[in-house]
Amino acid sequence: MKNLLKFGLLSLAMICFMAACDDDSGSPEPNDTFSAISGTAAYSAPVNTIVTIPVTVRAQGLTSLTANGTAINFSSDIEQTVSFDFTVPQTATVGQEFTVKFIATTPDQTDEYDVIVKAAGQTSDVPAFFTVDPAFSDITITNLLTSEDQLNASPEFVYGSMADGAGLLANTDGSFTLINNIEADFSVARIILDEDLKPFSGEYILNSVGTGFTAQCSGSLITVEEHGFGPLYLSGGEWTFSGNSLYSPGVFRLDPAASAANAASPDKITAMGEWITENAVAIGQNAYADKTVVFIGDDDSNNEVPEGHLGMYVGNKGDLDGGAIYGLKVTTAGIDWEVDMEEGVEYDAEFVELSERGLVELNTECLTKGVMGFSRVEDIDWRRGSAANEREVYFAVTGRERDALAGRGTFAGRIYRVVLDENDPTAPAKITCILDGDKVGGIAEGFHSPDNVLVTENYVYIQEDPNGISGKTGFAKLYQYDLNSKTMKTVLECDQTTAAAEGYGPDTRTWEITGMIDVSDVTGMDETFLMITQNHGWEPADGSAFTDPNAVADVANSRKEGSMLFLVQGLAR
Amino acid sequence: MKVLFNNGKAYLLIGLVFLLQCAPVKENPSTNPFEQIKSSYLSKLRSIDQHMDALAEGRDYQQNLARARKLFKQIEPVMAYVNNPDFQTLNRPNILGVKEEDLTDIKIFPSYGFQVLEEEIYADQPDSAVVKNNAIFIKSRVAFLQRSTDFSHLKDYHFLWMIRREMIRIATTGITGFDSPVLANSLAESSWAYEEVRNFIQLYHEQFQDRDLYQQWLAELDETIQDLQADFDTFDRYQFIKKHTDKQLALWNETVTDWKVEFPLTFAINNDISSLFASNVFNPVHFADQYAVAGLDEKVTLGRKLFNDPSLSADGKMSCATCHEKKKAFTDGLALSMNQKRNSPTLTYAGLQQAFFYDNRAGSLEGQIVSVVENETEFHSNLEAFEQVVNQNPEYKAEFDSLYKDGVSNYNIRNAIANYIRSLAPFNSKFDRNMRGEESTLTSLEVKGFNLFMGKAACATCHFPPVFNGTVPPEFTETEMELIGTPETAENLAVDNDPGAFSLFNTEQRRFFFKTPTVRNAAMTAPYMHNGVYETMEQVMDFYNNGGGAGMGFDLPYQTLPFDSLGLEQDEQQAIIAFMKTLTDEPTD
Repeated sequence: MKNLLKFGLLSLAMICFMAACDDDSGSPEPNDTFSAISGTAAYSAPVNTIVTIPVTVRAQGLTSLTANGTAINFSSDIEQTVSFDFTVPQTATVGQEFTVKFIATTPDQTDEYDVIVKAAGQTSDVPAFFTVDPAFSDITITNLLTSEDQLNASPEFVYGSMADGAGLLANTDGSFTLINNIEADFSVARIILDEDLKPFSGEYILNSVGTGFTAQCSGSLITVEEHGFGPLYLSGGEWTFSGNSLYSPGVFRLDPAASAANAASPDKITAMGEWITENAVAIGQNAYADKTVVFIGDDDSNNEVPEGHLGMYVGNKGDLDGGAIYGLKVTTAGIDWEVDMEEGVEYDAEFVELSERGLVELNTECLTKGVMGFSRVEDIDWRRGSAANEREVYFAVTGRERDALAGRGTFAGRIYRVVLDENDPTAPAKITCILDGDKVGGIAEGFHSPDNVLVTENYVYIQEDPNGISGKTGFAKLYQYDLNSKTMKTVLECDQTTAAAEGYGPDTRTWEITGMIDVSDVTGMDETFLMITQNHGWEPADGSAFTDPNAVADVANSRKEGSMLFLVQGLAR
Repeated sequence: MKVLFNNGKAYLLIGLVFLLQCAPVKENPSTNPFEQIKSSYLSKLRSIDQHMDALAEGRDYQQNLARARKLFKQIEPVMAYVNNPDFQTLNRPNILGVKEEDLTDIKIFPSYGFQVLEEEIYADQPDSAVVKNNAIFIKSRVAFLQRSTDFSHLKDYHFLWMIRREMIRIATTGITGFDSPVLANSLAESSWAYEEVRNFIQLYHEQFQDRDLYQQWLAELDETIQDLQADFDTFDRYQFIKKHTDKQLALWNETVTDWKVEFPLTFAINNDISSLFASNVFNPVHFADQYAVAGLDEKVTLGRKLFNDPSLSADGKMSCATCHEKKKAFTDGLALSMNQKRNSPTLTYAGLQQAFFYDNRAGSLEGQIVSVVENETEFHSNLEAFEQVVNQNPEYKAEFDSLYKDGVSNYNIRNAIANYIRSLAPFNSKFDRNMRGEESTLTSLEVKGFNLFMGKAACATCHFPPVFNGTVPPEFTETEMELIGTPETAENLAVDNDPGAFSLFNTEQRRFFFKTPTVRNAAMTAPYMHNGVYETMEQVMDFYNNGGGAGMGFDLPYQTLPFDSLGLEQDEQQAIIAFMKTLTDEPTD
């Protein structure tokens, strides 16, 4: 409660906010005796902030000057600049426009001048703690929202611990809805962004009670535009308060438009099985004419035998409940373990149908049937651009350094590509490890636990969640892999040295970069992305928690640490 | 707080809507017995809600807990099978959850659920906030299950697996008080679970070709339920397992034949067992992987040679057998092994664990051997040199070439040794032979000792039968560690400073945690504890009877052993020791 009070006080202070727009501003004609009111005609500002609107008034014999009916003091009856303070109402909705009507009166004439003030979002004052590689010096990164920020339109909302998977939807009024998993608070947030992608308000549409305290890891949207039905949000339910080796696994489904009052009623798609689900991702509707195909990442972290599997659900188009599930098996002779696959070599694979659904049963069935075990399957995405591209599925295997995994599972992490059959998703497929973080001298040698992937038409963007591999240096990085030239560049790296110096967590707790999504098509702004960091170890200095009590009621026992949401513009697609 | 209350209400409404949409059973009774089981399951899940609401509102704690707990135990056979992760979550002991994924991902959480509620509600002054948070947690998971439980993939073999798992759960943990820490209401609770099993068998009556078999089931379950109406401290668990668990396993096997069921998979326990105390009970693949145990039997002889071969160490003086002597049940009789920090553990039954070393830092025998090879105070070698030694021995080389498709490799060497260790689980002790009914030689003192071990003395709540180690039945997917507060010296003055599992990730909440080892062959493995501090079983019994380290006054807030005295009389302690001595395997060649 302490931190909320602090934020509350900040809010009361009503930060004066001025945001000038360049349209319709004119300078007064110097010789006119009555050019009346001029100024800037449009402003935007967050709710509950004061917009100071200056206008220039030129009039001979001015007798009255009002704004929205309120008299404004004027010192000269000929010419001056005056200003009016307009407070954007707390109740304003995103993009709502308010007219401030100035009226100047002289004995002879009256002039009216309308200024429009739009209720807008706000960005964070916290720096974006990244070191951007010089090769990408033209990208811009804006810190949109952090756990210590308060959104004026929803002052009690706290952007919680370990923000993760996300999806963005366009609203009919020009604003956007971001659905965002808050993993360590067992919750899903809905954040409204204004037309410029500035966060306006936030709330929890799924709280810890609704998930049964299941951590929501990566997530993905199903939309009419990409999948032919929706919108629906799929979320990977991975773990819970269950002690040392237990999970609460499965694919969660929720309605992005669910009212916050119902913040407690998702369901689990039982037909998709109890994998230790990191993510569930439906590939594009152009891949198959009559099928919906969903890939499921099984983040099983067995330290001896890699047993994270790549699951696949296939149903009729739009049907997420009546289909069958499969596991990917590599059939090329001699490939018993994932590391038997060499970087850049294509291998044969098939999808084995699975009849079990429970956690232990499904895992045992996969092991019994020889489904390939990976050392923790994390995020999944599919390539954009054509029907053939949509049948290319990419996934990150994050790996882990353990003696017993040697010769079996990846240590530093790998990125795989699966190319599906043209006509039948369950037909034999091809698999290639395109990037191998353990390959000495390889292009992915710098990998330190790649965890999240975003695939556009030409690139794979790879985000790290470093888990302590010996010999790896630095903080979490974002990489850009070029699918055409097969080259890879580092885009940026978290700068925890600066962050630590400024009080944003210790540099000994490595952050994770996650949740990156391409929002160019949704927003109509080219080369526009959202990206998230989980700022492990960054907690409120006063010992309170970055936890929204609407997400987790037992705040004292919550994870407490913060997260940050960024807008990244200028990356190629 | 208001918010949660509101959510709770919204929740209830949604639950009702869901019920109307998704419970066709009511108007159109399904003939599929599993669908009827589902319907009853969902209805009981729903009934738990009201008791959690009452607890959250501070009403009639003991009564609401008792009613909810009864429902929970009635649904245990189904929930523990169909929603196993949820069952385990709701049934967790009241100890801190620590999940150490890797150095950068360590999650530490309080426990929520029925056991926490029980402890809180029966505390001198229950904390209403704790009760409320637990009630909200339980209700949320139960409500989630009502929306997210599907039985449509379940077949007859799942039903048989489900009821067998419950029978084994009751025999190995249910009757021991494992999950009823304060009330020790475990026998009544087990009878409620059995009543449900009986109902299920009745739902399946048409499935029986052999009508007599069906009648035998009902009679057996009636008798089981009757026999469970007993006093916790004096209940004869030895007779219960022999008379009922074994009888039920026999009926179950006949039912498999009668129903013509074939099992597509095997889990921890093989599908065809007739007793829990036999060498053919466990599926080796469950404890290793299918590659590791392929051709297990043929590799044992080779593994034994390697195990006893000192040439594998750098100075050629040390073999595995140096610290694991067969005649001492594969220990060395020393408090601390030569140049080591800890006591040499027995290797008998070591394969029936999911974690290795006293601090659980290795997850497989093959992985564990890497550390021994590389340890400066053990083999002081490396995997390459280890491989080279074997490669240079033509006899070994020929054997590896014939047994392994890729011949000699350091993994294959480790695998051969591991397979030898896996073979060291004969289940041929006097106790096992008696349990299997092959002889009737246990004295009344020994039987009394087993019953105390399984009941009043609470030993079996950590040393689970049939292996009597920390691998939790009936799933056998986790090998537990505990904090018991072993002292530095036998004078019991201060806790031993070995930090145990703390050393892996420097997690304070894991300090002094050590794996629960087997008590099988304990008569051969003195001295005891990770530091060999006690020379006799009597000292060990005394330690536990006094409530472990915390009971003896050490400051150990995370101790997982109850702090208070077990209240065991001298003759009771002697009986437990007598029982443990029956767990010594017959020597084999």
